[in-house]
Amino acid sequence: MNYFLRRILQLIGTLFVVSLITFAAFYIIPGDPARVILGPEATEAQVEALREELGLNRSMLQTFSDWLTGTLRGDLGESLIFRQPVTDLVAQKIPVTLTIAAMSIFMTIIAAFPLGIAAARKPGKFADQLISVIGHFFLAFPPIVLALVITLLLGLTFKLFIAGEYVSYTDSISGFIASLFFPSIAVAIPKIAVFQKFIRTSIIAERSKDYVRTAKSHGLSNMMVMIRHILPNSLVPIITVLSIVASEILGGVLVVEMVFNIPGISRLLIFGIENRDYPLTAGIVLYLAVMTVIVYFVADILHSLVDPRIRLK
Amino acid sequence: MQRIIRFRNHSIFLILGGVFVGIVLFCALISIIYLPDDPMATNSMTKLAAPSADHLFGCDHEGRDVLSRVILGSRPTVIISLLGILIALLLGMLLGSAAGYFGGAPDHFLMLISDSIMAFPGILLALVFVAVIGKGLPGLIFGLGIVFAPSYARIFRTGIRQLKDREYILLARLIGVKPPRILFVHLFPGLVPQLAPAIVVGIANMAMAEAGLSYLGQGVQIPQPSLGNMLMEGQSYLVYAPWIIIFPSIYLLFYVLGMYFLSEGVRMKFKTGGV
Amino acid sequence: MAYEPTPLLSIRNLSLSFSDPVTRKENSILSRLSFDIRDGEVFGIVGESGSGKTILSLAIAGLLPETAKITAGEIIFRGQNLLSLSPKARRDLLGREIGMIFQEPLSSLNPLISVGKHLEEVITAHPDASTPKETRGMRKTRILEMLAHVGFHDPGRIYRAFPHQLSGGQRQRALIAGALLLKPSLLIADEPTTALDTVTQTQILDQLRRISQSFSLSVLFISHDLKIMEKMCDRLAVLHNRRIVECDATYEVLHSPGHPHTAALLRGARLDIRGAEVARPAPPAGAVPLYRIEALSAGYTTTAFRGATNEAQVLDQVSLRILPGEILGLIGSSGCGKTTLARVMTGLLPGSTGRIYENEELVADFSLKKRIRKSPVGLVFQDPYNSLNPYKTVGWLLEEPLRVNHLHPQKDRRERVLTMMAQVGLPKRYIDSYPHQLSGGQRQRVALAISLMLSPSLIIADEPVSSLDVTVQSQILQLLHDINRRSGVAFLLITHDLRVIRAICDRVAVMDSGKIVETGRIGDVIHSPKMPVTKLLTEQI
Repeated sequence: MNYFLRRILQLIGTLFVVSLITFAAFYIIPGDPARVILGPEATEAQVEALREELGLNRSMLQTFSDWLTGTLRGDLGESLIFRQPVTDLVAQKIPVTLTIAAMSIFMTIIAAFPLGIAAARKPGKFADQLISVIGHFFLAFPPIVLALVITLLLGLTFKLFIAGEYVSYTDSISGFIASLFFPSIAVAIPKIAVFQKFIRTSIIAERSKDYVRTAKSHGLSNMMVMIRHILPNSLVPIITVLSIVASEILGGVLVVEMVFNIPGISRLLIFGIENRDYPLTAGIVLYLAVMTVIVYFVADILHSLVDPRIRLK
Repeated sequence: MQRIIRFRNHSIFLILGGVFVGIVLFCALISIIYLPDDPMATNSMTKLAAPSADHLFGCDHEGRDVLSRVILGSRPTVIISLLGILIALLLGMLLGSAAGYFGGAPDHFLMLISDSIMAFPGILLALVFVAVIGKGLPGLIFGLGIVFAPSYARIFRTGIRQLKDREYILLARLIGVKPPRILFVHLFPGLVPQLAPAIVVGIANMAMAEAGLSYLGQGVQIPQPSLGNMLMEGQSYLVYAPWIIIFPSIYLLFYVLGMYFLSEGVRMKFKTGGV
Repeated sequence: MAYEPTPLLSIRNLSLSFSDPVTRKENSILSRLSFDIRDGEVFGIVGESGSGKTILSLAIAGLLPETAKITAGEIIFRGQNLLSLSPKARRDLLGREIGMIFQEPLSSLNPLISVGKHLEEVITAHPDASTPKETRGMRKTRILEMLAHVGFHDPGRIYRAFPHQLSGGQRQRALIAGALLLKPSLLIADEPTTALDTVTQTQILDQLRRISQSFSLSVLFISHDLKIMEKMCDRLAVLHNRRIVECDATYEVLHSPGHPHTAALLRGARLDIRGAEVARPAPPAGAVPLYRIEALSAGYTTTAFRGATNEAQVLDQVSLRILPGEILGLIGSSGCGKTTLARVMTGLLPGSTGRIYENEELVADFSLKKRIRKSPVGLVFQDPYNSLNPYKTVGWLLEEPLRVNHLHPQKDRRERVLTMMAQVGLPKRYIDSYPHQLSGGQRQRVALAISLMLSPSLIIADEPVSSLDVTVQSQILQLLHDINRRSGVAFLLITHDLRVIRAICDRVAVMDSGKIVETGRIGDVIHSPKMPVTKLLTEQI
């Protein structure tokens, strides 16, 4: 399992670079959290005292190394503004964001595969044309606009859901899922369009490979050739793209949460950025980066399950 | 594969995309010399006024003319997406070519950086970068440029790695062609079929990212109109005055959809081009 | 009239065409083909690339691409017209009655599943071809038997192996096992050994021949190579210009060809270039060599995990002299270091030790890591599809050497290009063509012309004809020969094919595992080879 070890090291390296970038970013950003907390009325001396207390006068490298050692122990520090542990703040909000993301990824997968396979069956024929035209339209639908259209059309006009209503998962799990359904759709639709198109292309590319001809010459039916040969082989690039799509979905959720007024991580993130709350922002960024890294890692595992060339290297 | 080409003629995509993008570009250009009304002038008489002969697209919650604001608001979208892609392309070309051509340690280092950037949801990184460089136009252009650069770096790197050991490149080295000329004259034409559609799609994605940032209040700052912050401002009036958000939405959609159509057309054109 | 049994397969007036997806024009590919394959015989179809051999085999199997259409004729297999069968019935014949093997063993197996799974599919796809309630274990026994039959000594390992763990020859054997597993009566073999090296080629062909006899199997054997045909086939048909121009017993076809195209193929196969030309006299012993390579070694260093380096020695103390104006052949099997030698000489790769002299003047000393100057050596590669930039026109490509070296005023360059095109036999009208608009032979002419633009004293040609059709091969070799005689440029001709060496070389050097094992005048080496490697090579002819 040398391969996995190498990949894990690589992904940890990625996380390190990611945190360093966010940290460096905060040291360049103009603005002073101490001034934000105390407001414009406070005297220069008061601000200076708070800066000292919050540790804002230390060098970036020192702050970073402190933060890093804390992080390695599972302690992301304390938010400058809220004066609460970052982990607690994030833990309140992240389940919502991750649920929307997970639902969107799920929707993308279950919708894109049938569409992509249907389109690839007879390229250029009616079904393919139809899927392609609709796909192109939604491919280019900006998520905000789509979210607004869904609110306006499905929420306000057809009353399928109450715009702006959110049920916390502590109150009702089913109500929670239901209230996140339309936001998830808004994130998923453009990704379904991207993903189904990619599935179609990979299947068509695999179909002209030599081994398909061999399988046919062995007398396998078209169905068997598709299930046993073409689909598994096209899965290799599809998994890679799925991991990229999943990371994009996470980004899409950040915007769509705001449109649907859902108390997820993105409002906390914007708040952290605007108020120069660097432990909070860095913590959130790290959380989200870890999530994407996990997605990439799962993709790697799936790859090795599908492809013996990776497994038996 | 051959069959598709007949049905999905690339020129349809190019024409349709050209018209969509053309409308938005025309508005952005015309806004320099003419606006139907003052986009900044608030007017308590026309608050939330519905579209009429006086105000074709209606008025917003401050009584400002939506048509004028949309026309002016499309300007940052166009400027940021075009200049931002230029930055992304230049950065990507520089880093990707170096990594691809020389390989070894610089390649590993550059790919680690680009993998790290790509591991992020783009909007997250854009938020951080824009916060660093500043929320104005330059901040958005450079911030988004950096976020988009890795994907172009990757195209350059992979393309060059694939092509540089081709025999025709070896032959070019042999007849005395110097490395810069090999890159620019002998290698780059081979990348165009992949690069051209990616650039056009990049413009669309960057316009979407800009709208997203402005919507989140981290991009173009109010009262300066942009398609994104108009959506943010208008959202509260969705029920009573949907025109405040409908028209900027349509503009954004035109631009993004138009670019996607253009890229599809460009991609098909290269595919059928024979090479 | 002797007794004629019903043929196993009988093609009657078969015509086939491709419809162009854009213009919807019908392009005829095969026209009114008729031939029979008898029980137990090996029937060969020979033709150059693009003659429609492969499409014919796919038509028989029923695996034509959508754009191809059979416009007339019948394919009768065991008295039944295949074209009137349902797709399902035709599919059922595949694998059971008709087995197939293809040219590219490397890509013809699904990389994700093991050899055993591949073969098991053949059985499970034909439920009525196996005894009812056949267990997995019984199927495995059958498969292992077949794997042993096609020459695997350790069928168990091969059964479990994934394609990427096997060599090209092993994969082709596995494919043969799959094609023969259900004991079909017809095997279609489409250039089955073209992608393999000579030794493996011989083994696979012998195996095929043996199996066809022991299974009383009929084989439709498709190839471009007359030498293989002579060894393999009982009867032979020549496909040319969409038609079968000749069909008879192999011996008859090869020894008294009845059609000019067959004669041309045979001439091509012999590569008879010199004709009656007398061998050039040996140069005086003390002549100054154009190039002298002294104890040249070279290898690749690969950096492994944690900075450890592995060095693979590719060239081992190679010494070689190239005389002015001669054509020196360099022969050896694939992987012996020929190509590396070419790349070190041209400066594309560094050597690790050794020296190179040009006209007895030191130009490179690799022990000191020093290349004093690069000499203008021309290089022609094997694959003319990869050696020309697809995005540039012929004229641009030919002008580039002059442009980058600032030779000749700009206005004269086009004139120079046209002169050069005339010299290599390319009509003027191709000056604005892109490489993909040219044939393989034409591209190779362009590649040669690019090398000649800088008037080098030596051109290294690395397998310049091995990817070309035989009739084109002899044209290109003729061109090399003519250019050598006309302009006095020396050639180092690298090849694995002794026929090419014999056709135009003055001297030959034999290379084996990175060493030069024998050099000499061409006649001496061919007629009295000293080293065992050389003997093996000379037996090819």
